[in-house]
Amino acid sequence: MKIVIEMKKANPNRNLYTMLRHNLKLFFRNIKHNKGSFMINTFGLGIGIASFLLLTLYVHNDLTYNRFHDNYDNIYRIRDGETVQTKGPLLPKLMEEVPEVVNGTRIFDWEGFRISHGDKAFQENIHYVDQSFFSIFSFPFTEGSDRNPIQEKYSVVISTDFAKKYFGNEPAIGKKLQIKFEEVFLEVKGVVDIPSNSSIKFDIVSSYETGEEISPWIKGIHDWYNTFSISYVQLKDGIAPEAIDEKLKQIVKENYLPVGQNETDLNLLPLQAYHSTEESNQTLIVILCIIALGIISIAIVNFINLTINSVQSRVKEIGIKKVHGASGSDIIGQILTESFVVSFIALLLGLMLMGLFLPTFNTLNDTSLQFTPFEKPVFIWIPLIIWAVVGGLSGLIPSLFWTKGKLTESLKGNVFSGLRSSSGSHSLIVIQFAIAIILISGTLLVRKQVQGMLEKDPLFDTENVIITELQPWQFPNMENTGNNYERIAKELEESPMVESVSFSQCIPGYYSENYNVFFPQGKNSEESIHLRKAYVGANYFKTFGIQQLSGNGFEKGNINYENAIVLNKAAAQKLGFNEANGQILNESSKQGDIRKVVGIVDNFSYQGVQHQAQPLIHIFSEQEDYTNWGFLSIKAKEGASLQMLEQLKQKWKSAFSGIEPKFYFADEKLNEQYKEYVQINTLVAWFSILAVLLSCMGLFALASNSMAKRTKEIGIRKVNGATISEILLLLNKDFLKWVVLAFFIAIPISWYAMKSWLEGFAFKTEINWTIFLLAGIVAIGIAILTVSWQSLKAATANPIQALKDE
Amino acid sequence: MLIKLSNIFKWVQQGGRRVFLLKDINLVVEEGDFISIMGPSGSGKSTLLNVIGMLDGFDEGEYNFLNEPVHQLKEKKRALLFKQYIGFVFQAYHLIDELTVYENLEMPLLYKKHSGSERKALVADMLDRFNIVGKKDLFPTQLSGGQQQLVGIARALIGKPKLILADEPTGNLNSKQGEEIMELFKQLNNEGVTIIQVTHSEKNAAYGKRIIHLLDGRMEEI
Repeated sequence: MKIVIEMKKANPNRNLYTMLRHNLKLFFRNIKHNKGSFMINTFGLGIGIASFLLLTLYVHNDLTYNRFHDNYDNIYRIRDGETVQTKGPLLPKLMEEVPEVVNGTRIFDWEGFRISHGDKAFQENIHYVDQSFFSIFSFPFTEGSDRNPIQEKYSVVISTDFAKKYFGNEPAIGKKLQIKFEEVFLEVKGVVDIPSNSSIKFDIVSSYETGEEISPWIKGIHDWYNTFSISYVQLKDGIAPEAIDEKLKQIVKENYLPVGQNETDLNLLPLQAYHSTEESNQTLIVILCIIALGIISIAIVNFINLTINSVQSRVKEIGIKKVHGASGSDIIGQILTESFVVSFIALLLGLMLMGLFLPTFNTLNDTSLQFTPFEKPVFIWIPLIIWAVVGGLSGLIPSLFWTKGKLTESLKGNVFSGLRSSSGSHSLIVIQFAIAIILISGTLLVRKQVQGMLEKDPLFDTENVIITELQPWQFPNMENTGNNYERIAKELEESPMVESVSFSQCIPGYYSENYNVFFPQGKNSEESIHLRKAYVGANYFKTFGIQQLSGNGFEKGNINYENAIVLNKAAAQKLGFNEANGQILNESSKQGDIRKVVGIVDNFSYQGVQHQAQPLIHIFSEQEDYTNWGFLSIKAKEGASLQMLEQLKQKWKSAFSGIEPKFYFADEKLNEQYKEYVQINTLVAWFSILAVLLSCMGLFALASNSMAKRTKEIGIRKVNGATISEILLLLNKDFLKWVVLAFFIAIPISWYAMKSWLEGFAFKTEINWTIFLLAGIVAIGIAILTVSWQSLKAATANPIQALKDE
Repeated sequence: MLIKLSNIFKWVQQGGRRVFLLKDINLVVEEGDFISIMGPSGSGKSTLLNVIGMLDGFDEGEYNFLNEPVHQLKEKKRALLFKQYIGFVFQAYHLIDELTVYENLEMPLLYKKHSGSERKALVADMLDRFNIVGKKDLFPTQLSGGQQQLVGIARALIGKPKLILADEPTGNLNSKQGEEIMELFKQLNNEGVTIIQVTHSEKNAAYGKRIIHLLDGRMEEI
């Protein structure tokens, strides 16, 4: 008899649809029966995806800094050696003499004054730029246009933030802004929305011409000696910056003072590299990348593991289907449908969680990141790729086992016997926990370092010194204000609660970026030295409780402090001065202003202990007009500081009613220097908690899987007299040994990472074995809890139940 | 001739020795036969049934199904043969818990690429024939064991197979339910379906036209 094997030819599309409907129906009914594992599964992956996206947003933002400029590839910032400030006439000279330079602009950002509109008034930092500023850079205008917006004198371009601050939601264009209390007005000609990842930021810009009208002194400092401007150039397409090296050298030689002897090394820093070299913390970016990849891999591995587990109960279903004619591709189709649906749900959940936590993440990092996938297509691709990878892997891996599994076995419900190698799933535990332990110990170390920095004695008095920020720009009547400052200081000085008071331009934690070169007279170890400059008044060191190592600290008395200076220890050591005995330094050049050393003070911390103490020079200064001072600092007698603060508030109120005073304790500004590290600490802490959580989910799943496999074994052991605690020990031991292994793998990696991170700090906390121990205990403790949850259930189960299975 | 098994051997390696599961099995099954396979535990009954049902392979011998040499066929062709001519009934019913009675019956048709209307007609036909129309929207867990096995048999029959293979179909049922199932088999056999069943019970075996005894993988026919 001839047999006919016939295949029904149905419409393939309709059939596909039928199968899809059948698969989805089964899938959703299955979820209903396994709500718990489904929730854990999707939530775990959702959290992983959300974390990954948040970190990717951060990293992407950092890596795409300044890209929005059309001339991005050709813009360079001129550096004067290592510093980014350049001399005023340099750029015009370059434009004139170097044909490769097609465009360029200077930025002058040393000007600040009160700007008001109606009753809205703030101290503003105005930038003066060359006309070409808006043609070299491509800032997006929301009002006005980039065609010569600052050509007319007194016309300005403002940022959207500035516009909002002064004008609310009204259009800004054409609005007038008053300068100080004078009858001089600026007119808004444009508003730009500066992208958050722009290195060049400003609130308000105007032209150099305007700046020279407002403050004629600006003209004076744009010479071949002072370095007060930032210079950007745009090179011709295809010109490498090295090509104009020789010409730069020539310009330095011909113009820089002293002519012919100046050795300044001018170089061009590409805008592409500017953010990474000058602004961003590259170690942090690397750390974040590692965390992001670590978390998403933990989550994906978990997801695949959990998927395999949750469908293990359905092995029989697959067997039944195969007996009734389902082919391998039918089965794979079903599994893939499910894995893609589950991972899609997880993806949606991840996107939702990300949206939910983005504001918190932004506050935590001081960023304003936004998830805008339609503007940045990379953020469409990333979720899609995650979906494809997770859906594909979590579908294909189980289908491999299922389709290859022996049918007669799968009908009995055990297809996985020996198929999933236990070493595979155990190495997953090891990797997950190693990552978790590295993150935990990292958190502990960063915490210890921050704590150490905060606790390290800054070598000045942080408890009894109250600082008043004078804010003279707030007041129209300068003379009156100055007199009030003087009077308050005098009154305070006489108060029995006060040790001393001092006026200054700087306070610890706030020293301006003012450097100069000094030439010591006589035979010295150094011919010249770069020193950071600060102007302070009498009793400055006494008020801040800074220890004097030698000589005098500008104490009030009948001494003439004209031209007197006080060095810090670092500066004195560099110059080879053991004590202060009137050594002379010339500022700027060998014939420059004379400075006489009257004292040496300890290396107190003025910019945070993460930095090495830089050589400092404090120049004594007296002001006729007290509004030239920035700060008034008061040292109260031991224990009287709070009372003092009250009194200060009173005095301020009666003298300047209506203007909010700014008072703070001396360590407040200093502690602001540690903000970045506190942020890193919070960030790493949160993500290590997540990593631990996700690892535990994975462990939980593996444990439940393995317990299920060993039900019979446990039953037999119990029937033969094993106690619950013996069983617990037996079951837990199997998992914990892998966590312990993870611990030993994590230690060297973690130690190395910590060491490299600490390299950037002058003050380094000790990498202590307690950090690792604590991290290990936390990880192992959590692992024990997780596994015991499962093993306790297995150990206390009735053995008869387990053995009846056969 | 529906099936011809000639000198079938099947073994596993255990500790370097061959342990025979099936030893020199020779069997001819004609269309319309009703065969009961009996034997103690571990004698190879289920293994033989699985070999006949193409769920399991063998190591030596020849197996012809409707004159097609199964031992030489490619996997795909064998699957087609299996799909078209063989239906399985299990001791534990093996219904899919997440599917209703209706959907369980429909499931095999999905893999045989029947159109929607064909499926509807075939399932309705079966529900009618087995008198379970009222149960079509229930899930297996809502049915008694006998009812579940009824659905299992209906599902095995829905593809109109020539051969039904039943592995202890009454093993999980009480005697009354078991009797009903056996009566049903007898009726099906009268309608022309070939049946091979594995059973422990002499009484159930007696429903068959022939009884085969297996002992340690060897066959003796009575």
